[in-house]
Amino acid sequence: MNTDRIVPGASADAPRASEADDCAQRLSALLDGELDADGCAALVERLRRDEQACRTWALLNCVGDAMRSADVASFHSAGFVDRVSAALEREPTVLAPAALPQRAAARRWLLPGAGAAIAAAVLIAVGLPSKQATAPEATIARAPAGPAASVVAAEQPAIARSPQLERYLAAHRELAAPALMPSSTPYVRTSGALLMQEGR
Amino acid sequence: MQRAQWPLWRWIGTATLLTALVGLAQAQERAGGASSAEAVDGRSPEQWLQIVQQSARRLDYSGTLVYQQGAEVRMSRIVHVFDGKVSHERLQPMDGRPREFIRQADEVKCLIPEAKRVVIERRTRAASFPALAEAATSDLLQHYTVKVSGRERVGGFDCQVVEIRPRQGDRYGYRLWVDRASGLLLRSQTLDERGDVLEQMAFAEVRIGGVDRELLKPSWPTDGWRVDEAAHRPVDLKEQGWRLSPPAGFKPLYAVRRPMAAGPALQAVYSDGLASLSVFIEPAPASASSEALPRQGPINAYARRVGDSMVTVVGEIPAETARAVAQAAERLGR
Repeated sequence: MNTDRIVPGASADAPRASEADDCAQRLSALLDGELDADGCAALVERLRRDEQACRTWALLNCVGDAMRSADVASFHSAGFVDRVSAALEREPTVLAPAALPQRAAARRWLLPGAGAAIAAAVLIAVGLPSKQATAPEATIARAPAGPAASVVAAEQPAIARSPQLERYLAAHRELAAPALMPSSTPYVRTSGALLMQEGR
Repeated sequence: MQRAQWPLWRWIGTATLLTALVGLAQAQERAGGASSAEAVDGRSPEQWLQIVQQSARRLDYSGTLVYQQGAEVRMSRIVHVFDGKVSHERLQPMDGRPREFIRQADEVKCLIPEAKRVVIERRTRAASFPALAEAATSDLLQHYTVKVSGRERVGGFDCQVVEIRPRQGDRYGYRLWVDRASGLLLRSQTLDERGDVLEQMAFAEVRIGGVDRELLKPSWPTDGWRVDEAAHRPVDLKEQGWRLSPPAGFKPLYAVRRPMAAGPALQAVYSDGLASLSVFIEPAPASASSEALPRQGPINAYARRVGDSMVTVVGEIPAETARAVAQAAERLGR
């Protein structure tokens, strides 16, 4: 994962990475869940004040989403982060007195600088609503453990699709009726219910 | 004969299922008037399988079918009506591009609204091939052990759990949850040799009996749509110069010549009563070599070059079985 990490504007071969490159590398590591707690804290702190780092973070998320799915990537829009940040700022603060200290801690995450990180998390939730909501516990439990485990589970491509296999599967499904289930059920298996005659 | 519709979404968390229902005159008839619960109770494993097979074909039901493979979950609406002779079915996938599959007996109409097309697919069995249901259960026990294990409540219904294990590692096992009252299969899991679930299908909500036949009608008027029929021509594999050797118990269902993306291909379909596999034989592209294709849940595929032909085995079978069937394909000298 480290070797092929994509870092906008940075070259992994450069003998001396610039400070900005180094920041991008660490953001990428954060995205991959490979940063330790201290590293995360420092980086989030930096995202609060460094606009360039925020832009890099948004770009990294966009690139990653584009690689995984054009559908998810299409949720990205230039002003999205700003709009979410502004909306969060406008959110009325509802709190019980006893909850003050915790609320203060949470509040840090809601500062404009961290808007991009929150926006990215929102993005993932928006982009993959049903999968995350309905995936059974057993599946989630098998996802890699770690700070970003739930996000990792949601991001994983559902099934490695091979167009070649899909075509054979469509032809197979056509003639192979299940013995115990309703006859049409094999049609559920192929993605988007691909038909033999499609995609020619 | 009609039961309440069940609100979905109870199953969040553990994949699944619920359901069911009722009725069934059939189970009671078989029971000779005894209560249906007793009727199913004393049944042998073989009889259990027969009940499940018949119920899937002969009951009227409509519901939401949930299919789960790995992290992927898909839902479809399904309507099934048995008119006394043949069954009618309508399947509406609720995810992805809109499609509908309307089945009557062995003919399936696939509706593609954005293209205004209807594609007709026919499962036309050669006369010499026995219907699966007839062939099934007794032969099946030669290759699987069937155990009627515990009772489990599934979605509020009293289900019998039926465990089907392969006698050898060349095929998968299954775990079934069968509604004790109706015999309808409410949940089905395909298991690998370690007992891990490869895929599962379950009714999230179902109504048995009293199905309105209007529900079998397509969502779109298809007047004026282009109709294509998948062209299959039955062939004799031996005459075509091929000998295939599927695993023991897999009987031939079809052998046809059909169009595929790359041109005409031979397709031979085999089933052991639970699992099925297809062997495709087509001209090999110049660069093609033998390889396993990416696995998809319980589906494995293996492509092998044999002379100037490509032999591709696809089925709900372990990877090693797909490979072995491809390796055993033989070009007969002509």
